[in-house]
Amino acid sequence: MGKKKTVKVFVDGEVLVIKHFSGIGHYTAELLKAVDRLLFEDEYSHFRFEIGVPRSDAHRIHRFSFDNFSFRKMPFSPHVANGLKQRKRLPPIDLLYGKRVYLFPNYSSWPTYFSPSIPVIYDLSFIHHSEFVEPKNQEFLVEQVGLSVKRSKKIITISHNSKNEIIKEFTLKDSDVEIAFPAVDMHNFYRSSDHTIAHTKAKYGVFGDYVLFVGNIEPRKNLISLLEAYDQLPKDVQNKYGLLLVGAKGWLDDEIHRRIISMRMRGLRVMQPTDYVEDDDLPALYSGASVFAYVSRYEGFGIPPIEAMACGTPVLSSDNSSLPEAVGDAASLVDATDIKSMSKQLAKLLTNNKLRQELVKNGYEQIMKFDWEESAKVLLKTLEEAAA
Amino acid sequence: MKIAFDLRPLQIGHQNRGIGAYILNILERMPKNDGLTYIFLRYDSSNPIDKYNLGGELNYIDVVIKKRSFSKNPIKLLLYVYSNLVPAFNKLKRHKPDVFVQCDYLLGAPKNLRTKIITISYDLIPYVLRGYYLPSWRKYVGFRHLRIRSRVRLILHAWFYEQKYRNGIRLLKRSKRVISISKSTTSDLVRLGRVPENKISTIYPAASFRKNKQDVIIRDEIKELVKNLKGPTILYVGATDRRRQVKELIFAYNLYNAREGAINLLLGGKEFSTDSKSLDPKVKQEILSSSYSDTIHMLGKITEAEKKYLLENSSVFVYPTLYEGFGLPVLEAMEAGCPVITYRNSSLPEIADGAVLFTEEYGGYEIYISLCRILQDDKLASRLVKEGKAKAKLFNWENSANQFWEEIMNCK
Repeated sequence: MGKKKTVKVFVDGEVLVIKHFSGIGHYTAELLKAVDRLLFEDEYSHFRFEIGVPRSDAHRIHRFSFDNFSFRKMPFSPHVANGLKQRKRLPPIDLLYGKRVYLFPNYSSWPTYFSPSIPVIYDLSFIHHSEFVEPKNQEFLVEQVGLSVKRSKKIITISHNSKNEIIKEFTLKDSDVEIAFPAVDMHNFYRSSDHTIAHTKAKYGVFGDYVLFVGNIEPRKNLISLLEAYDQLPKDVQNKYGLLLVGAKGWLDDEIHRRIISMRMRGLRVMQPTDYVEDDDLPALYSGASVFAYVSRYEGFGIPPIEAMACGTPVLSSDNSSLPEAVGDAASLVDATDIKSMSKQLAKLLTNNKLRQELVKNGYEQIMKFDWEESAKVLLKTLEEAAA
Repeated sequence: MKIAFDLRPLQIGHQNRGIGAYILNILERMPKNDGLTYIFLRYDSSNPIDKYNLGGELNYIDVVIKKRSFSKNPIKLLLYVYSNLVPAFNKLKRHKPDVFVQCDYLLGAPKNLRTKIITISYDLIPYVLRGYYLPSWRKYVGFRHLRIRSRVRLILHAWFYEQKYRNGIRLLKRSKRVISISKSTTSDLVRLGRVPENKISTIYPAASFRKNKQDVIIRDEIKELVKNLKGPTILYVGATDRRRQVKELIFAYNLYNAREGAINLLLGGKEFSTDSKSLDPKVKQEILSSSYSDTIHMLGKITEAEKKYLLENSSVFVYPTLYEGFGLPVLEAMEAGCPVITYRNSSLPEIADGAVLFTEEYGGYEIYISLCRILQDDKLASRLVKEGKAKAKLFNWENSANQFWEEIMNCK
């Protein structure tokens, strides 16, 4: 067995330490955790990972307690770096850190002079569904992602659907884009005990049985249709089950809040947690839900439905973009624009016990299709190919 | 004939582990006749011969050396490093032993051509799982986020252990005979240590719940606890170092609770106590954050008799280990009549094939699947118990000790 050539990798770790820890942050953190575990093995011991973190928040990287990574401080704060990016005045990053493979987990990359770079592009909603993205952000992404793709040696994405879109949009070869699927960390997401569920519900002021939604409160998540569908449920079902919306504030959410208030005035049980929901409490909220409803208009992958499946909750999901890929045959699929059938399907899910049990059973099988370790292996393989 | 025996492994923590069990069982059965003179090498902290009541009326030569411990004083530190990397045996050489038995290859042996060295090798785990136990010092050179002082300390630490293990392998090579405890260790010695195969003989250990004075007691609280448990019980006894995936076991326990029904988890071992500092923080986190943590019972250090009692009263013993020299806990569980779930690797198929349930792959999910199989299929469980008891009878200390001492007598 010959000794393998050392592969040096530099990861832009901005998303890991910024205060608004989003889906992208979760994906990157989980993927890097899996990579960290793999680096203990002989097969991958020739990788050397460095994570670049902004100077101001550098200490926050230590909460992940990585064993095999070293950390470097980035030259500019994220704010300055984004400004320079927009003005195309960013210096090539490899002049600062030397020759290695550069991985950018947040769409846009830095220019490089002599090193390969790999961006992670989650979806192309900013091109195909620009109405769902903040206008300011949309312009930035359209410009920067174009540049990133041009600079990149390979691209990593998270679903077949996104891969096809990227290949079509930028006319790339099939081998240029690799898929590293997200997965559920089953160490955290499993059905909680009744005791924990009751405790968590009390903590956030939730009472009774409920239908759950988890995600940012923004137009892309199609919340107005979900509220409407809940409104159209038969009266007895409505009385028994409330609707719980968990999520951080997105944008363009005034209309949604107005809807919620007017429904509450009519005596409907539309709840929101009284406090910011911590990540550790999510499994208990998932487990306590009767149905998890996720009827987005567009998704890059859709992690919340598979998290709900891991907690043994039947899922109602829409049938567009990559959602069918993520949920497989383990969810009840509906058209995101057809409110009537959505309502019908929701009522059926809430009342038909046999169907629920079947979905839960299928869900347990579906989540086994995705594994962080497999994705980490794909990532490492891609990095090695880019380095060669 | 003068036989020198290194007792120091019994004073540096191995006495509670498999290595200690091996040495103690061998020493308990040492031949006593007029032609034999024993020389025991030990540190000055205690006398294992008296402590474990090994000698009886035996007359032996006692060689006592001072233990150099780790110190921050630079001169003492240098002496510590030197004595570890270049061990000297001046006091022992004075007695001119014919044979020197070294039970832990890291402790060195005298360089004297007339003394024949016999080394016992239990495993080469640091070489097999290099990433966990013996990372190269080069790994830490690039750790720029650490202060230069900590980085130098890490690098020196890694270098020190690299050297120590390299010396250990050298010792194995220059030994007259090497005794390994399983076929898998033998093949590792040939493959990784490049020890000639004709020099190695395999002598198996056996299950034995040793009965020392302090070991016959079963505490009342443990009896009480076991009596009051509702539903099936998973047992784990052992340490929490990197190769034992206790985290995965707790994950499997959570999953079983979440999907199948209530179950208990008993964790025995020195590290599983509330005030333990050596418990792996990731394991601790997993235990504390478990939604079913109220039925996880941490028992702390348990005696041999308690171990036997727990094994007899548990539904299944789970031992998720990435590598084993022999796998004594598995054999003990088999003898006590407790079905076992473990991973298929290293020596485990050799000692327990057909008598335990091997998982298909590594990981908590596979343990969960196996748990379902054992707990929901009484026939399988009783078959494993029967097979396990039969298989455990194949190993016994009388034979092994006889073989061992014969090996030493022949060495002359």
